[in-house]
Amino acid sequence: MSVIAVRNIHKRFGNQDVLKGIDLSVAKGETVVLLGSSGSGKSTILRTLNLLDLPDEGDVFLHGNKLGQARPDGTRRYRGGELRNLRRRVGMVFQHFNLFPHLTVEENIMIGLRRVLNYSITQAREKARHHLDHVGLAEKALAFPDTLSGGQRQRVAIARALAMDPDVMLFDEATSALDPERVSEVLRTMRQLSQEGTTMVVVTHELGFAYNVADRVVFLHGGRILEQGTPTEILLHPTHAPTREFLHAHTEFRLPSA
Amino acid sequence: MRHIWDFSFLVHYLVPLGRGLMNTICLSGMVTVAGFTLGLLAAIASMSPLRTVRMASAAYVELLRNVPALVILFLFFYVIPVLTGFQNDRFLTACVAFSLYTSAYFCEILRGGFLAVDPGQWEGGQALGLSRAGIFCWIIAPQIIRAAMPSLANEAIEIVKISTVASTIAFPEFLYQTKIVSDIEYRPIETYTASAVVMTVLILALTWVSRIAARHFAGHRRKK
Ligand SMILES: Nc1ncnc2c1ncn2[C@@H]1O[C@H](COP(=O)(O)OP(=O)(O)O)[C@@H](O)[C@H]1O
Ligand SMILES: [Mg+2]
Repeated sequence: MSVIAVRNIHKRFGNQDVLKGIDLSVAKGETVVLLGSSGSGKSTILRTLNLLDLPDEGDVFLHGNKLGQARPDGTRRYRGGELRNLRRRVGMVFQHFNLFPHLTVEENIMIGLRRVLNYSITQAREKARHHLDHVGLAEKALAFPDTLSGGQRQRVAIARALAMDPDVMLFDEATSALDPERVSEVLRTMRQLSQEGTTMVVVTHELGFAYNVADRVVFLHGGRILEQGTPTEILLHPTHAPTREFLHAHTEFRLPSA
Repeated sequence: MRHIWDFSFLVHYLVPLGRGLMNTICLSGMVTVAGFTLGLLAAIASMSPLRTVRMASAAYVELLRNVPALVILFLFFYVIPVLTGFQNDRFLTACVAFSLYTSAYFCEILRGGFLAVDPGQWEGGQALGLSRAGIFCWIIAPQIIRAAMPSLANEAIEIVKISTVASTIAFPEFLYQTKIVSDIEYRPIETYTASAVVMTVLILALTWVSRIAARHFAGHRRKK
């Protein structure tokens, strides 16, 4: 059974149809990479998975259970409690980290544990330290986010999401705001999570990551899923022209393999 | 004609001047607390999803900001008793008038602080499963205070100065007492010089306290 799934999702912003019927289902332990050009709706899909954006049409499922209650007009209504319950089970890592600047690194991780999962301070601190250690930042527990490098901040953000013991992790261009030499430390952390069996949905432009880590690659175009399959199928033998153009644009300048 | 400076007469007036100073401090304190609270409510209203509530808040702020404090004070002191047949206490009148007046400024300061917080902070909190109230309390509000602290402190200092306007309705605050002493003794130069020094010391003390508060609120631990 899928951990998280969406069925026939439609989303409009103003008069722009951003998602035009998306079906996506993520199995336990699976790593799915979403590819697509800028503005193709990748972020919107991730944000629908944890209902940060509410779809205009379509359903969201957590462990096979359809969320929300039906309204007479066919759309669905989501209660605050249900949204919060979903979001604490779905970890999200943002392009710009969204760490809390007035809190120390460990307090950033503790706040969800304390205020959502009702941990005591001692328990929360212990768990925060454990997850910081996991991303290799144990010694930064008492630092403030603005004293860290971008790569370190993103690893803190990953630890913060992981500390909630989510059923699935969403990554929205987690390395796009980083200096090039900081990208690999974050990608390594993400690969490690994938290898440990974390269920993940990853939006990235790092094709090497997609090729080496993804179980499945999904290519989005014009608000629809154009094609999906194994990394080899999609990245090496794409069948649609837009996919080929996208891949070409992303690999035009690269070193020949030795 | 040469003026011969002599401050010695002032020792006879320490009690009334001290009382004036206390009144100034009480009035300013009350206005700061009430003005901040009203300003906070107006700021919250200005971010309401309801258009009418937002417009009401904007109208409130514009109205109070564009009328001099003196006019609002006279309005409450002279006009309202005529309309209601109820003579207000001077202290209360000044409190109400200045609280309304400064609440417009507090509202703008708090709104500015709110807008300065990155919207990504809400999403960061939502993604953890925090409630909106929780996000506001633990994530947004501390950052607003941090961003707005210098302006808030500035407004508190401004209030001390505005409070002297209450002398126009014969509320015995510091400036009013100063004027009486000066009139009795016929020595305005010394009296007002001394009162300026006292006011400056009071405001410097306030600045110093607000700096400490700012450092405390603003996460003093950030300063390495
Ligand atoms: N909150 C919003 N309001 C209006 N338009 C939006 C909003 N969020 C996204 N969009 C639009 O939806 C389209 C898809 O956005 P997004 O999902 O962020 O794309 P991607 O992440 O693939 O670059 C874009 O054209 C964007 O301008
Ligand atoms: Mg995006």
